[in-house]
Amino acid sequence: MFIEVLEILFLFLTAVMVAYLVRHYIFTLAVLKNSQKKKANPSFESTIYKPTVSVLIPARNEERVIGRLLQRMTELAYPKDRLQVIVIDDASRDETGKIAEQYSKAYNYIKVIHRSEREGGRGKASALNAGLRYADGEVVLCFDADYYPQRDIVEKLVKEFADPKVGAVQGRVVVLNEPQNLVTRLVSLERIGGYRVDQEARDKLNLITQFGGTVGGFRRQLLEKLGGWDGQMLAEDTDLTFRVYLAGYKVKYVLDAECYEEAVDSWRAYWKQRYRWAKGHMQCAFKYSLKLLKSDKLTFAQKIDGILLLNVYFMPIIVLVSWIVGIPLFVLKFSQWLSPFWAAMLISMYSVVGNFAPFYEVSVGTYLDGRTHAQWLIPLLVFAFLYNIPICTKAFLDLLFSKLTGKVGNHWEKTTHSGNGNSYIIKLLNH
Amino acid sequence: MIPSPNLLSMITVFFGILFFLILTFLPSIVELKKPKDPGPRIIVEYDHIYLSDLENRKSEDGELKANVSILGEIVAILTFLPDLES
Repeated sequence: MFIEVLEILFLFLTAVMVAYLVRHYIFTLAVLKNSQKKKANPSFESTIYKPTVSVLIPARNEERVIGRLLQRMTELAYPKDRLQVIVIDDASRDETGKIAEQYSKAYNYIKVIHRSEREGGRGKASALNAGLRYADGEVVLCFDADYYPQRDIVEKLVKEFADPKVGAVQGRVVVLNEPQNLVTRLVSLERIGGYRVDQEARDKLNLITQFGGTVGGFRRQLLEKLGGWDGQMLAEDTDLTFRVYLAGYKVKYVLDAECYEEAVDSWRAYWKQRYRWAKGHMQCAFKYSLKLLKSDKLTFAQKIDGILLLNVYFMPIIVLVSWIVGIPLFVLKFSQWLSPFWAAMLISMYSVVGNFAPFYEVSVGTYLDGRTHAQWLIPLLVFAFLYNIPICTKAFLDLLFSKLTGKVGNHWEKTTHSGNGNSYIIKLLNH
Repeated sequence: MIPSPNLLSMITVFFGILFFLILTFLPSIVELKKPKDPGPRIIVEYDHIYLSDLENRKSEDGELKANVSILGEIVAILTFLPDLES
């Protein structure tokens, strides 16, 4: 009886893993097909639509990076009479507020909101909501303080709002400090797979495109109607993505709206960031999975994709459980109808292929970016995937514990930015 | 001393796995030691066409169309001229 239960559990886990495998294959093929089409028919996209735009920049102890982003804001090509930049100094203890004030004095479209110790430090969602109260643009965009966008990024993003069905937009994130070390290189590969292939495919296939919390934005009216960012959610971006879709709007991904980010540069920082993402995603999975299935605003394909997206951070745990279940099945050889060989094959196949940015997605992404040498690092993604197993398992157990005990435990662990990207920007500008 | 079949198979498996790992990670190690990848590419920026530019373009197009219509009239007159001669 015990063996039969193990077998059924194993088959279920394998089916889930195969579902993700197929999903990523479809994404990769869709992007490859689309890239060829694009080459054959380059189309001119109108940039006439120019709404008023408010850019929100939440910043907490970001003195090393805030200056370069504000400088970039002054260099944006978007008409300044239609632009408002709001810096939310979230109770910083360093020079962030002073630097922002200097820019505010020099440029009338830059505004600084200072939050006190009592108000601030409650996470990004809380800071963004504080900024939203002062925003008067038709469109609200958000940038993290360590980001460095293209000069023409605003027009590229906001042009999508000409379509009344578009409620939110998302641009592409490119890792700036990639050559720094192994961690930044692997994060960059994950980003290439995630943005060049995953997001692009979901957009082209009209599935659930994800708002990533930065390098993107919303119609202000819709955002206010939805009640702004939810401070109780650790993945406030994923939470809003699903609220937008459930309200009958869509998120549009703009591949050529690119922005540099300063990636985490140590395994410790990687753990903190991914732990927050994993726990936040799992929160959203509990909150939206049923609502998604019941919704009459989404297509069947969107529901399936939404469920897979919401539960993506359970995958490392599923792989771990598959090993735990599969190895006894393989060793004990009790099974009559499930060949142990196939059990081992199925687990190892998925384990090797990985989860977060599966190898073929990254491979195709780097190929489309014209970076064939970066592909040589792809085997090392196995380590990032293995590292995600304890991260996601801990996130799940902590979330389960907080649900059982009724303790919230949603402490926002902010990613520290060293400002290492500055030297790379100088190099790139001098290129 | 001839190793037992079990020991032989264990040694084979050990070296097999070692060979597989070296083969898998060798390109990565080479790229890490001597990176040939140019690193983060320069994010593409290009000048955007503003409404005023488009209006200018439209007026240029209008001028071009006017020129084409004038040219058409000249051609029509020229084709009519031989008829006059006849």
